[in-house]
Amino acid sequence: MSALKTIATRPRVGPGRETRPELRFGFAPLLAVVAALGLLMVAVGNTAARLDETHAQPLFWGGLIVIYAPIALRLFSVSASREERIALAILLGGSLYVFKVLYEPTSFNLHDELATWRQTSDLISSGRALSDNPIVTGYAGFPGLELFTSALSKLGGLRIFLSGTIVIGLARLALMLGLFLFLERATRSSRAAGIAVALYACNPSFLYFDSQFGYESIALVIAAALLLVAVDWDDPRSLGRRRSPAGLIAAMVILSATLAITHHMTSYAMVGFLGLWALMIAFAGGRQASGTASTVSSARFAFSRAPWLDGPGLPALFLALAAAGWFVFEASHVTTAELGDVLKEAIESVIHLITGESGSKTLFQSAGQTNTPAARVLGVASIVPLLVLIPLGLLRTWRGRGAPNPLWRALSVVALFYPLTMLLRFTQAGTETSQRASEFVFLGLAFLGGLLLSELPWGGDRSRRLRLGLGLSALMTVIFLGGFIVGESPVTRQPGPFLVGGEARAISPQGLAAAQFAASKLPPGSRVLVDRPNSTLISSYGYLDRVSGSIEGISVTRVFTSKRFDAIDQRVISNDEIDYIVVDRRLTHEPPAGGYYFESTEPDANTYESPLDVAALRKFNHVRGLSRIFDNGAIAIYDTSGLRSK
Amino acid sequence: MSPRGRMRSPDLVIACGLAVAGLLVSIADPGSWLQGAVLAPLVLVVPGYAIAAALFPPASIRSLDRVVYSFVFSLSAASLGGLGLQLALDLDRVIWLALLVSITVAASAVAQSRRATPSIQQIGIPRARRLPRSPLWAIAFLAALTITAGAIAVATGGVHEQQGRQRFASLWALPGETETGAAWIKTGVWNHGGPARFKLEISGGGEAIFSRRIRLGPNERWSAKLRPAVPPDAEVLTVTLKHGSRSYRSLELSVGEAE
Repeated sequence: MSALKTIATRPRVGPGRETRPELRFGFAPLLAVVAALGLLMVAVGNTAARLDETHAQPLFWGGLIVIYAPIALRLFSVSASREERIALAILLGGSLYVFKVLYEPTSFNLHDELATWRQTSDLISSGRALSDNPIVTGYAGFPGLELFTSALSKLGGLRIFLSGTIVIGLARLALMLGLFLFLERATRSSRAAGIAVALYACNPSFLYFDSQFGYESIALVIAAALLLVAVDWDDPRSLGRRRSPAGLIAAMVILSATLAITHHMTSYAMVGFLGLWALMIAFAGGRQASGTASTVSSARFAFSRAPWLDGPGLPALFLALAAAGWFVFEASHVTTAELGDVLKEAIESVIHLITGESGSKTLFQSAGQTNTPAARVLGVASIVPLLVLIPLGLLRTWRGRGAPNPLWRALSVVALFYPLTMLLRFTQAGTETSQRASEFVFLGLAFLGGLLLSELPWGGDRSRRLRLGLGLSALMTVIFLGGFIVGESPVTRQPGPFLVGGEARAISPQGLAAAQFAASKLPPGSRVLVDRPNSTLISSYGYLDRVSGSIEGISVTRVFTSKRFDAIDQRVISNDEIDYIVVDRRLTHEPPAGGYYFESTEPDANTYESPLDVAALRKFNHVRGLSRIFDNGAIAIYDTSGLRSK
Repeated sequence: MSPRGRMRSPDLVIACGLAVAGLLVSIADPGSWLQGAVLAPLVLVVPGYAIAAALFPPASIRSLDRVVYSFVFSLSAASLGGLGLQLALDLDRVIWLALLVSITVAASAVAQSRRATPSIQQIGIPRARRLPRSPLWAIAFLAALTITAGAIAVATGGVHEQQGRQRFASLWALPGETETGAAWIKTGVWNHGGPARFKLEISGGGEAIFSRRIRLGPNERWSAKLRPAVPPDAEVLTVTLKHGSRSYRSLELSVGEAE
C-alpha cells in the first residue's frame, strides 16, 4: 500500500525532466479499488436480497462501510495533498452513485424516475417541453433535466435510461467537485473541505433520492455552480490573477435561469441562502467587515458596483427574479399543486401534534415498517453528534477568533434548521418535508463539521493522529449509516422480493407486462384508475394518465375499496371519465408496506392493519358493462366503455 | 486583430472540431455506437466548455472551476436553448444539433476574441500539473473501474435471475367492429416463461364459437384478429386460455347493449 503511494507521489524533478510538478493522488487509486470492492459486496448482497437469501444484509451494510469509512479516514489525514482530497471527494460521490445504480441496473423503477421518464419520452416524441405529467405534477413546469436528457438521447441514439444514468452520474461528480471547491473557499482549507464533503454525503437523501433520475438531482449541481460564482463575486481573492466581472455576471444570469426552470425547491432555497448571506454582510457592517472580502478594495473591480450588489446580493437578485418570473408566467399551478400540499400537510400535522389533536409518529417507523433495535440505535447515534455540532459551530462562527465572516454565519444559520427538520419527523406528513430539506440543511452541517473537526488539535505523534482519525471516521461512518436509516424505509433500502405497496419493490414483471399492453393496445392518454406502484408503470411505459384525488367530494380510491359496486362508484367512473381500471390482485395479500395502496390521502392511509378485502377487487368481475380485457394472473385491466355508455 | 496578437487556442479548436465532427457523424449516420461516442460530448461538455471559455478568459478562474462549469453550462445550453427553440420548432435531431453546434462555435468565437485582447495576452497562464509518471495509479484506477463494471454485471444478473423466476402468461382481447358493422376480436397471448402449450377458446351466449391451440417459446407472443360468429343474444364473450386441462386465464368482453 505504502509502496503504491510512494511511487505515485514521488517527485521526479531533475536534469532533462519536466519541471512541472506532478499531481499527487496519494492513496486515492488504492481507495478506488477498495471502494470498488465495496460496490461488489453490495451487488452480491442485492442479488441475495432479490432471491431472499440470508447473507444479503451483512454484505450490503458491509459494502457501504467499505466504501465510506476508508475514504473518510483518509480525508481526516493531515498528510493528504489537495489533489488527493479532491480525487477522494469525487470518488466518494461517484461510488455512492454507483451504489444507487446497483439497486436497479437495468431500468428506472423509482416513482420519480418513472415520472421523469414519461416527461422525457413525451418531449422526445412531440418535440415540445412542458407537457402535463400524470405521475408528478411538478415535472410539467420544470423541464431542465428532460431537455438535457432528450438532447443526449436524440443525438447520441441512446435509450432514456442510459442517457438519464449518464446525465445524473456526471451531475453527481460535478456536484462533489463543486461542493469541494465552494467549501474550500469558505473554510480556506482543502482538508476542512474534504471532511465537509464526506459529512455532506451523510444526508439522508444522498444515497437514493438525490441520485435518482429526477429534477432535484440535477438542480443541486447547478446550485453548487452558482455558489462558486457567488463566492468568487464576493471575494476577489479567491480568483486567479485576472477577474472577469462581466463573465461572473453573465454566469449568474445563465445559472439563475437554468436553476429556475429546473427545480422549484432548490431555486427558493438558494434565494433564501444567498439572501441570508447578504443580510449577514449587512449586519456585519458591509463589505469592509466581511471576512471574505474585507481586505479587498473595491477599486480593484473593473467597474464600480452599488454596495447592495456586492457579494451574494446580486446572484440572489438574479435568481429571485428568474424564479419569480418562471413561477408567474409558467409554473405557478404545478408548483402550488406540488409544494403547497406537502407544506400544508406538514404544517397541519405539526399543529395537530402541538395541540394534541393527533399523537406523534414513532421515530424510524413508517406505516408499520419498524427498524430493528440496532438500526434504531444507529439512527439516534447519527443524529446526536450533529446536534452537538451545531452549538459548537455557532460559537466558533459567531464568537470565535478573527473578523466576523458573513458566509460562515450564514452557513451556521442553515445548520440551525437541522433540529427543526428532525422535529418534523415526529409527524407522518412532516417526514417528507424533513427528508426534502436535508440536502440543503446538510450544507450548513457539513461546513461546521469540516471547520471544527479540521481545527481539532491534530498535533502530536503519528499514532495519536491515527487514533484520532480512526475515532472520527468511525463516528462519521455511524452518521452516514444512520442517515441512510433515518431517510429510507427498511423495506426499500435494498431490492428484494415483491412487496405490496413497497415502492420499487412493488414493481414487477406482471406490472411491466400490463404497462406494455397499455402502450401497444390502448389509446395514449386514456384515463386510468390504478394503485400507486402500478400507476408509475402504467403512466410511464404505458402512456396512460393516472387519475387520483376526488370528484364531487368523493375520493376516487373508493372505487377500489367499496365491497360492492354501487351507484357512487358508477358516478365516479362516469363523471371523472375513467376509461380503464387496473386491478392488482396482490393488494389483497398484505397491508401496504408504504402505508397506502393508492394515494397518501386515501381514508385508511398509514393505519392499515389488514389487507384490502378480496371482495373489494373481485366485485369488478360481476359488473355488467365492464370488460376484462387483460389478465396475467396478478393484474387485470377492465374497460369501462360499456359501463359509461349506460 | 493582427496575427502576432492572436493567442493560440488549441482547446477552442478541439471544441469546434468536436462540434463539426458531430455534424458530420450525424449526416453520415453510422449507427448508434460511433454516433453516441462522438455526439455525447457535444451535449454533455463541449458547449459548456465553450461558454465557460467565453465568460472566463484564461487565469480568471481556476481550472477545476472550469470542469464544473463545462458540465453545468452544457446543461444550460441544452435546457435554455431547447426551451426557447421549442416555442417555434419541434425539437428533433437536426434542431438539437444545430442549436448545440451554433452555441459551441459562437461561444468559441467570443472566447477567442476575448483572448486576443492585449490585457488577457499579458497574463501568464499557469501550467497545469502533469500526471504522475508511475503507471501504478492508472492501473489501480483501471482495476477499480473493472471491479465496478463487474459489480454492475453481478447486480444485472440478479435482476434477470429474479425476473426469470416469474413465469406467467398474459391474455388480452379487444373487441371492435369493422366499417360494415361486423364484430371482430383482437386477441393475444404473451408468454413470460418457458416453452408452453395453450388452448384459446371463445364462447358467447353459452356456445363455443372459436378454439385454437397455441404453442409459444420463451418470451414469445401470439396475436390474431378474429371474426367469430357471435350469437345475436350474446351480451358477453368469454375468452379462455387453457393450460393443460385447467382454465389458466379468462377475459369477459361486453358486446351487447348494456341495460
